[in-house]
Amino acid sequence: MARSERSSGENPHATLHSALARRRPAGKLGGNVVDGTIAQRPALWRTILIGRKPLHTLVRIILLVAVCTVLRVYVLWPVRVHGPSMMPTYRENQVSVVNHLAYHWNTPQRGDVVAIRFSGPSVLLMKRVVGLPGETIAFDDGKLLINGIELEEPYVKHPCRWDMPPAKLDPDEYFVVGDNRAMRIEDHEFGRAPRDRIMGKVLL
Amino acid sequence: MKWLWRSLAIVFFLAACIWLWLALNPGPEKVIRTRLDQLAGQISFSPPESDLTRLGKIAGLPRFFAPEVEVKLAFRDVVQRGMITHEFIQAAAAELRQNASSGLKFEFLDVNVTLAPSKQFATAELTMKATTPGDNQFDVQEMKFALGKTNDTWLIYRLETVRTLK
Repeated sequence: MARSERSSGENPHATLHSALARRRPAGKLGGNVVDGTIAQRPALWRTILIGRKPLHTLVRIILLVAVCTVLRVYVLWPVRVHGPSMMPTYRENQVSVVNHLAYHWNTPQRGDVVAIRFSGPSVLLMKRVVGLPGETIAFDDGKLLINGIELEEPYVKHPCRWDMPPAKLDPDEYFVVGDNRAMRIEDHEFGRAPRDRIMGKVLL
Repeated sequence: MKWLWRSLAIVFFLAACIWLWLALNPGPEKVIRTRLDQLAGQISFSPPESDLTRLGKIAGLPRFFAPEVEVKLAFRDVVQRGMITHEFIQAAAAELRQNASSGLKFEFLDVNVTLAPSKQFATAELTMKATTPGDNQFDVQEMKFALGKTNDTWLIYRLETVRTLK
């Protein structure tokens, strides 16, 4: 009993020394000795990297990653352009974004650049909507005719003399074609796209 | 806390059992996907390729197809309709190797398998992607394969191209 009292009560210097020794490791993280007391202040780099409250920062990071993942998977699909079909509007290797929700509540409009799926969304065709359901589409000497009236297309440069007989679109079909009409019609992939193949609107 | 560890151990054990069961007894859909992946590897090639590898790959092609395969192909300038045999498939694979000297890598993407109610027939709609090694460009063609089960093996008996835009 006496020993224990002594050991806890004697030699105040030693006690202070051991207390300092115990707290010193915390000083490695930025504790400063000011007027004989230790101020526990995190290092600047730590504050910048993980903030004053690491748990809050962790929650923020998890939320950010979750939001980005949901956006990437369900809303905005980054795509890289391959091929000359949409030149000069989109060039080779240009990076763009497809808004998958663009046509969830609305329907594609004339002039929209859309992404069309093959058997799935791994590879997408990028084309411009020029014909809407029920319309009659034709090419006559390089001019695009909608129900017999020429459509003005400022995005088309140097059109070749494409010809295609009139074709009427079904109620769920859109007519899509690339902006590059400077190539031969045989080399250009275009035509009717059912609504369910249109995966979204190209944004950039 | 003991009950928690025991529960976790039981859950883990059950999950491992299910995983093992699925790995040892894959469903027909998974078997078809695996076979299509193997087929993509079989028709892919990249020089330099030894004669033995080339012959082995070409000789191994028939195991994916029925003795007679119905084809309805329309891809760029290539139009092929009718019935083809194993010999034709092997000859076509050899010719492809000669024409594409820098190699071709085939991938079957977005494979959608639909099983018939009898589970003896299936169709696989997929996107075939062909890339030349070292080249940024690629070709894509949507395709539909019809498969039938013969002696517990899924064989392709019809091949057709699908027009994405009509």
